Amino acid sequence: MSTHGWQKVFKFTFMQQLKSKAFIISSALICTLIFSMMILLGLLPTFSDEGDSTGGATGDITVNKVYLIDDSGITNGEDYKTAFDEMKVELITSADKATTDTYSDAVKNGTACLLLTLTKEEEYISIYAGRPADNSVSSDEARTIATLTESVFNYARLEKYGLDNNQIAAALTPTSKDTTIVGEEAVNPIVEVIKSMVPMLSSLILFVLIIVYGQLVAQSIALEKTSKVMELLLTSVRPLAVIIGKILAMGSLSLMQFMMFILSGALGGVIAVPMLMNQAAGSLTPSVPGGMIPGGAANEAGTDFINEIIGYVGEALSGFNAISIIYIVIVFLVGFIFFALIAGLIGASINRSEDLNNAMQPFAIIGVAGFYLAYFPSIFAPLEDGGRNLFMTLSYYLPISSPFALPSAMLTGNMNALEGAISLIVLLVSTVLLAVLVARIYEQVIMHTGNKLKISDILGMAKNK
Amino acid sequence: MSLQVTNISKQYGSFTALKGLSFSLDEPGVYALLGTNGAGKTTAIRIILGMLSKNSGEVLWKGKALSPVTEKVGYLAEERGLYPKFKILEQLHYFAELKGMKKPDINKAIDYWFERLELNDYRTKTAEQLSKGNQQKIQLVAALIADPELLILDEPLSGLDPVNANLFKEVINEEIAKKKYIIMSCHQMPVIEEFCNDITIMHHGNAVLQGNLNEIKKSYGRVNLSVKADGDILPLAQQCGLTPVAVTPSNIDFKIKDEAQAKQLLNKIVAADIPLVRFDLREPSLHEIFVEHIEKAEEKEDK
Repeated sequence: MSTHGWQKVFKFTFMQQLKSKAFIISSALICTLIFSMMILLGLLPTFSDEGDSTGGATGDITVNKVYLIDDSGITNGEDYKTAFDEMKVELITSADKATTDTYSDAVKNGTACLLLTLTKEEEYISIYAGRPADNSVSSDEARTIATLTESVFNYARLEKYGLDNNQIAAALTPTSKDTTIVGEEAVNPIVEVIKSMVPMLSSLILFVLIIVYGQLVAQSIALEKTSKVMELLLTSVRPLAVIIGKILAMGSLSLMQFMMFILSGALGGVIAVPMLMNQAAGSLTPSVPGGMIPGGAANEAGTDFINEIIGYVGEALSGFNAISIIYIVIVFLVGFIFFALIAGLIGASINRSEDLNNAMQPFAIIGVAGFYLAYFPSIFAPLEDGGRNLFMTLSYYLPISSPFALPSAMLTGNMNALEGAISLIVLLVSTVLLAVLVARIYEQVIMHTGNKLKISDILGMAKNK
Repeated sequence: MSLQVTNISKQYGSFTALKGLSFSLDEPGVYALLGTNGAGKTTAIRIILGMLSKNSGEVLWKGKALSPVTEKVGYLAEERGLYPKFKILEQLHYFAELKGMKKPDINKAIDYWFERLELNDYRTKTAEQLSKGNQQKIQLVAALIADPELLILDEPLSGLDPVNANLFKEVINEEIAKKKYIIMSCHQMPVIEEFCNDITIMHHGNAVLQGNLNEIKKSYGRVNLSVKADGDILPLAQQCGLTPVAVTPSNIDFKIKDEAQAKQLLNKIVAADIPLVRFDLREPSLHEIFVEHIEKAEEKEDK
């Protein structure tokens, strides 16, 4: 079974498909969509803040005057001056509670100003931020400034008790709480969400690419057979060379398109992340570890926030490295070849192009079954020891589901290197066996022009060859 | 012996598509495969080209098993096929590259054939933008582009208008002059008679007649008599023991036992002073031989 000439089939198929309107339009459309989605993601906090108030957006301080009544007995107005000066906000302070009414009236009837009070209660210090009636200051912005004030208060009171900067930093180090069964590692909910999203997204993207391009392989072979071009081709190359050239061309195109999608996302990300950082720097949510300390730049806190998110992603995708990327590319290509062999055989077995959709149903069923097996066990089935269950393990070793399951399992660290290697070998061996079977049948099926072939006829050809 | 086909057969389950076909092309020229629809001609061609596996037999080209992948073989298929939406030049480049040609040679060959087949106006078109006849010309270019020594033409003239049919005939004659080995399958008997030296007539997978066309015809002798006269010659024919097989406004056709019978009729017409327009004594046409053998084969099968 000669494969001489498959490179020429590959080149022609690749170039014709690359130049086709369908490829250009679908690539441009999806890349634009992914890029736009990333940009929108960066803009999302801005939109949500705009909806919250008519005042300035988070991160863009619109307050230009703060009336501070510090009745804490621990700090005084001077402690806050540096922080507000850095934000170019005028600070009017008083330690006398009697001025509360005066300041309240000034803020209520004023614009772009804020009333801040620090009051010593019986067991705690209360911080209150009052906004003007004209809604010129958003609640988020008021909360941000209150948080800043709280950070300054915490820093200043420790300084007053004689702690140096290092001691203050140590004292303000955030803590976290987890509960697990003894011996088990704590589960970070954000990491868990990312871990559940990755299989879904990667399985879905691979499923769409494998199914769509598998269909294209079938379509292309069916077109050549029904338009009788195949007869001309077969005077120069063997059928196996045709199917190999086609499958590899379509596989390369799908991989190329996949990379284009990733690049679009990355390009969008390059633009969106700084936007998010600016948003985060402005919002300074209380969840930011350490909060805001006087003299610290807001951007640093924003960077910390993004870094924290990146850290969660990194923890969730613990298996992400150069080897895993190569592994994923190999799994994708082998998986694609596995499905494309089935699709190619179906395409070769039909005699009329209008029969293709019906004939492709078994292919779609196999693909969907593989996708469900790869995706759903990680979401719905209860996890057993090692964060796995029987169905997940099964999905790693079955060739119909492993192309969808292995990439995410490798990225999320759900399988070790040995399991990854065994799964890949199982997929490779299955694909080779399928290729041998298809090669036995293909040369007979491609020239069949009689009655519609049934699966039993096709299997009979393999047996009788 | 350049092409030798020996005892090739093809079985689909219990159906025999081809039963032990053998023939050879010892010299350059045209060999005809004739037969009714479903006789097994295309199956035989596909087996020769290696597209179909065979149940038995062998196909040798210059003493070695023929492999179109390594040998340049030109093939014009009965059912024409081009990629409808791709540019014809790109398709021809692809087909030529598959035959191992290099780009400069491809361009040169395309320039020649486009000029020869009057296709220059269609260089930038897609296949679906061409008429059926022009698509057929492109197919012929695809078959000839690599200048193959062995050429297989399956119904080369079907669907062509008379002008393009003549153009194709000229090209076939040029290929014959270039000492090519050609296998031709065609339902148009005059075309076969025009080009072919040797023939095989097939019916239901069997070769029912094989040999050199001239010798086959000679073996029948000149037994067809066609007469046109300005008078009633039927009584004279009856006197000679001849019964017409066909009477048309222009001819009366007879089957004769031997040339003496024709001479007897001619003498009687002359003696009767009937003006004679045509008196044509000839061998049977290929069409007649074909029909006769197919009918015989069917009778044999019925028995």
